[in-house]
Amino acid sequence: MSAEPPAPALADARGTAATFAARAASVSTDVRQASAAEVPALVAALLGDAGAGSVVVDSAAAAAFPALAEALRAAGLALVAPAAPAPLLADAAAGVSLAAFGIAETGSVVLATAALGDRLAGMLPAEHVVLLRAADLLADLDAAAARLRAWTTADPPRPYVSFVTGPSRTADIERVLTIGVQGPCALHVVLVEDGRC
Amino acid sequence: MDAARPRPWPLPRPSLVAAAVALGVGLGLAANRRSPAARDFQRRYRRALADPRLARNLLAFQRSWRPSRDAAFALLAASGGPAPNPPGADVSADGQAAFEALRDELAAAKDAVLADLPDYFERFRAAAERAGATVVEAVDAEAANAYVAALAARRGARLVIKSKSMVGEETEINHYLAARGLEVVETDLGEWIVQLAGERPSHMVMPAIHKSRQQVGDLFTRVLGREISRESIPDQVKVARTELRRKFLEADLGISGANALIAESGTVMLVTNEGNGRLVTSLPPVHVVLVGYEKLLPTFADAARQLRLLARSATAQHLTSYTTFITGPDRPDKELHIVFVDNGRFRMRDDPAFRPALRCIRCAACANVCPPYQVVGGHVFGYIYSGAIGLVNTPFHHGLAHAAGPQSLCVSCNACATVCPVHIPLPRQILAVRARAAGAYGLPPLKRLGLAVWSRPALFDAACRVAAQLTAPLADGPFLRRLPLPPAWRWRTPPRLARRPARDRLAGRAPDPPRLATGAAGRTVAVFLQCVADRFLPEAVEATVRVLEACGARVVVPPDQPCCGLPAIDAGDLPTARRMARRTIRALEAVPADYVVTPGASCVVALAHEYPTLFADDPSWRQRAERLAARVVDLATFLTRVAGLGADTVRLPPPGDAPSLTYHPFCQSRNVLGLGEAPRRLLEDALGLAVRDLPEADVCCGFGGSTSLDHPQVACAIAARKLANVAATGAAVLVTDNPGCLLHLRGAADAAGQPLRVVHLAEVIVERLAPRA
Repeated sequence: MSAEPPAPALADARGTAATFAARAASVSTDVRQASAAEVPALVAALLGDAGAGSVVVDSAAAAAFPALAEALRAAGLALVAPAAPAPLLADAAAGVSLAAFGIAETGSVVLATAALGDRLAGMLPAEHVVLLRAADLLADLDAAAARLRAWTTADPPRPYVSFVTGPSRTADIERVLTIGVQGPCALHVVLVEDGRC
Repeated sequence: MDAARPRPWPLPRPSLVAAAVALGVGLGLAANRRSPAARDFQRRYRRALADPRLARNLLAFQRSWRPSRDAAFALLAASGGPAPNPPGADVSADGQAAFEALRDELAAAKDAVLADLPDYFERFRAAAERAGATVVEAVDAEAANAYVAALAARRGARLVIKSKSMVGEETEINHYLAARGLEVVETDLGEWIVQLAGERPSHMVMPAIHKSRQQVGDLFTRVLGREISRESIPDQVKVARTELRRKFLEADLGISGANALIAESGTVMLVTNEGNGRLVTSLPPVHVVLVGYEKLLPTFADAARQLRLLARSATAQHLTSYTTFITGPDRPDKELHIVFVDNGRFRMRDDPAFRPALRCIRCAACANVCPPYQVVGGHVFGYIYSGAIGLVNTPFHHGLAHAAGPQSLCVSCNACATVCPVHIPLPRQILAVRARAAGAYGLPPLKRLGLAVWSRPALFDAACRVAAQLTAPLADGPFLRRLPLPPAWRWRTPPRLARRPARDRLAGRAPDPPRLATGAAGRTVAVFLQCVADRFLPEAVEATVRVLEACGARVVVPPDQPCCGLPAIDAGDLPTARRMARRTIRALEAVPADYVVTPGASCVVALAHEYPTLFADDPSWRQRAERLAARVVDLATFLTRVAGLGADTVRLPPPGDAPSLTYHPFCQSRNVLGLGEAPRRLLEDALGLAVRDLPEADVCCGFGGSTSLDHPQVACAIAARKLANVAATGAAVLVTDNPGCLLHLRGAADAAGQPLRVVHLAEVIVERLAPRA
């Protein structure tokens, strides 16, 4: 422990992560923290414990965490490729995605991969795990808007970006909140913090 | 409703008077029932009132929405950083301030777009086409539907899935495509429910909010042919997931709306909660966006503002589960078509009174705070668009005839204006629709007759005096208890006309001596009697005068005071309203006074807020109206701001054994005059009276000027809501600042047998300031 007060940037980062975790939890997101090395085992445990059958891992998550596929297989889970036909993806019990960034103000994770199969990983299965690097957290919607502006005015633009803020929900009957309609019934966000102290 | 339970009938035999009243009312309200649109409205209106579950479902909804929405804005105020609010911080005030600042910003962005709409459209079109989308313009609903039908035919589509789209409702595209052999399936849960029920959405955000879980369970069981739980909402939601999954995977074409169109990048922004929107826009090889031009926003920064306001205003969330940004088709074999629908929008844009309504972001907050909406629901309070905005945009999208019935339900409480996230002057626009309907279809004969008398001071005075004499035998205390009434009107005991109106009582009266040294000392105050108080509540007028004198003011009562014209404004008869306003301005100009104070807060709204608008096109009268408006002040504001009551200098010792009080603020006192808690603080701080918290104090009492005459069952239900809240306080006395509310609630409480003294604010104050020996 240093006697020096923490550098403002670090304090901001910690504060941002804390805000993100609090806001995400307030919308029924299950927030976990892990180092990069711990991610494969944590995801395997999350999904293996839930007894999920097959899992679709989006290409970005697979590339960022090469050990993930093996960890899932070792936990007895079958893998479905994102390029598989949509009905197969719909039968998957869980999807794993890598977030492009997160928004602390709203507790959102932002999915920005263009390929349909990658996107469906977070749309069709009942359970969704999103990996979010803590360094990719933005403070608020204004910062997210600036990022989106850059992405969508580029050539070619990113065609399909979603802020995901908690699991799928409805209050259409009697304004009673009910989790899990057409999208995932559960959302886990793993906040990946490299070199945690 | 409970308040309407029949009371013992004082005149047992069928009375000629009752028959005459019923006939007169029937004839009087019969106008405009002849057109098909009017008949359709009457049918929907009767069906809604016959369904006791509807109002119950919507009351529960409104009661849960309001505190959640307020809490969501309080959180917005706190979201500047991770630090929680300091202990004791007034988060609701902070939330309100954050809301006000943000809605001003978003309204400004929307206005910028509306000012240069063709330009922003071209910017959007260029960017979206660069990204590979097809952008088309449809002049009306038929053109939009025909484009989609032709596209579906070209692609050989058979199954169409839809994410919620109000423009799709507006153009009735489901019906159009189904008639051409396509299967169209709504995938939003609420939309799916109303589609299965063969209904329309009754709410823009929660289409099936008018239905209870039991009704949904019955519907699912009937349509799906298997037993579905009537009690478990999670089970019912699961049904939607199971039933719709195959449709998503097999659909040939997806239709969505858009919550915003971002011009700088050609991006379609879509917010949903259920996850159906992303599936509709991802799985089928063709995606059609049906959208109104008004959804254009300049930049992503503006979109962020809209996001902060939209979910909080709509569902009290800080953000919906899914916020999706689509910029061009996402794969080479996908088609993205963005269909801009005009259908009256450019006419609306070119109409200065209505242009601000195009700021609407379809959050439905205006419905969620609307008292008559709670009673009749969105199938009646609106046409295809419901809530206050539905009363305003229906004339442009579907024709004035379809707005004429619904607009008559507005009680002008202005609650919608206080929660609108883009600051649309909805109450004023509804009055403008009312004026247009009155111009097109005429006023009902009874209303015309009433205004003909009301707008002629001498005739009105004579009529009131004669009526007071004639009805005196029917009177009992403050009521005309023995006046026979048709059943629909028996929920409110009518008030008696005073034998001596306030103008007689005050004539030649010696002023009271000052009792307190206040800031009002030496000021001259003209008292505007207010015609209702003058004739029905002279004691409230007299109390007002005595309170002012006790504070040291010199009170003058201008002679031959007319009615301010509010009944004509309220009826939509603007020529008559202007005539009455000019007469009132002349009468008040004739008396030199520092202030004009009245026991009728509704008159303050008319004099200070409506007059300048009435004379918008008449510079010289507008100037006179504004000069008058600057002098007009309501009693509570005069006593706190001018006299300084409640400040440390002017306090009274606590009373001995005061009865338990609660305070109902006149809706427009809060929503238009912005009095907030001032009257209550006056009672508590200056007079030392304990005032009990009234639940839903903000909600109108249901008098609503002539609305309670046009729609007695609606007014009855709103009064019952108010009286139930009053009963929950346990207070013996209900204080209010407006004669309309007072007479309405006093009569309703009496008819319901609820023991309650309903008194005017001035009467309570005078009892403390200058009690008679």
